[in-house]
Amino acid sequence: MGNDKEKKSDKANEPDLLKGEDYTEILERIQHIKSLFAFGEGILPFLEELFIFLKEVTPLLNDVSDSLMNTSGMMPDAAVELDAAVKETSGATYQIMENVETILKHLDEFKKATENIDGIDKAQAPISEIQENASSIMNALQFHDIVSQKLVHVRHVLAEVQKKMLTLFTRIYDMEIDKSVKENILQTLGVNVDEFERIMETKIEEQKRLTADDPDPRKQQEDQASNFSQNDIDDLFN
Amino acid sequence: MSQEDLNILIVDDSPTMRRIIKNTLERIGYKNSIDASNGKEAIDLLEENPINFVITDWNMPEMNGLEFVTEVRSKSEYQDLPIMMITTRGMKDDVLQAVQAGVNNYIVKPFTPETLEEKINKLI
Repeated sequence: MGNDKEKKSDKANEPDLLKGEDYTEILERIQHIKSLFAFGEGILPFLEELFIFLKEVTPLLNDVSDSLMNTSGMMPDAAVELDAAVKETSGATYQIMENVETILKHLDEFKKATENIDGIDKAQAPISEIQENASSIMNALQFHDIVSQKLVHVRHVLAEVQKKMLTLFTRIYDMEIDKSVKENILQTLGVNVDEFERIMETKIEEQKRLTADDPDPRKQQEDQASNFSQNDIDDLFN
Repeated sequence: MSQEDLNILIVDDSPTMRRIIKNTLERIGYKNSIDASNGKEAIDLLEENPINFVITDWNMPEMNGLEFVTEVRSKSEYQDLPIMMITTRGMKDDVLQAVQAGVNNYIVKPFTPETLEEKINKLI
C-alpha cells in the first residue's frame, strides 16, 4: 500500500515532458519571429527614409503655412489700399476736371467777348484748338471710372482668395479631434497654436463681412469669354 | 425734337462721369440736363421734371441701372421715353439683359463725344 502511495507522489512531481507536436509549434513560432525580424529588417530602411523625408519636408510645410497665414492676414490691408487708391484718384480726377472746366469756361468767355472784333477769326483758331484739347482731356478722365470699377473687381477677387484660405484654416479649426492632436497638426504646419484660435475667430467674422455681397469672380471670368464689342452692340440696335 | 427741347436726365454714381457726360452734352449742343447718383434718385427726378431723354449707368448703389430701367418701363407714362445705357459692362449677356429691361441703346465706356452724339440723334 505504502509503495503505491510513493509511486503516485513521484508521478505528480515528475515534470510534463514536451511532446512531438509541442516542438513543431515552437518551431513554427520561432519561424514567425524570424519572419518578423526579416520584415523589420526590410522595413527599417523605408522607415529611415520616411523620417528623412519628414525632416526635410517639415520646414517647407512651415514656410507654406507661414506664407498662407501671412498672406491671409495681408488681404484686408490690400483691400484697404485699393479703396484708398480709388478714393485718392477720385479726388485728383475731380481736381483735374474742375481745372479743365474752368479753362473751357474762360475760353468760351474770351471767344464771346472778342467775336465782334475785326480780324479776330485768325486769333480765335488756336483758341478753338485749345478748347478741343481741353475737351479731350476731360473725355479721357473717364479712365478713372473704368479703372475704379476694375479695382473693385480685383478687390472682390482678393476677397475670394482670402475666403479660400480661410476655408482651409477653418477646416483645421473645426476638426472634432483631440485638442492635443489638433495642436500637433498645427505645430507641424508651423502655425502658432496660441494665436490660432484668436486669429481664426477674427478671420471668420471678417470672412462673413467681406463676402456678404461679393459677386462670384469665377462667374465674371466665364463671362469675359462672351465680351461684346461696341460694333456688336450697334448691330443689335440697328 | 430740337436740341433745346431735350431735357436729359443723367444717372451715374460717379460724380466724375456725371460731369463728363454733362460737359460732353453741352459741347455737342444739349444744354439742358439734370443728374442723379442712383436709380432711386432718378425716379424722383423723373416724376418732378419734364424729362424726355435718359442716360444711365448700370453699376450703382441703392438702385442699379437695370432695376431703374425696369422700374421706369413698368409705368405706362414712360413707355416711349428714350433710355440709353452707358456702362463699363460689355458682356453679351449684359447687353441682352439691358435690352430685355427696355433700354433703347447701349454704349460701353469709354465713349467719345461723336458716339454719344450719333446715338442721341438716332433716338430723338
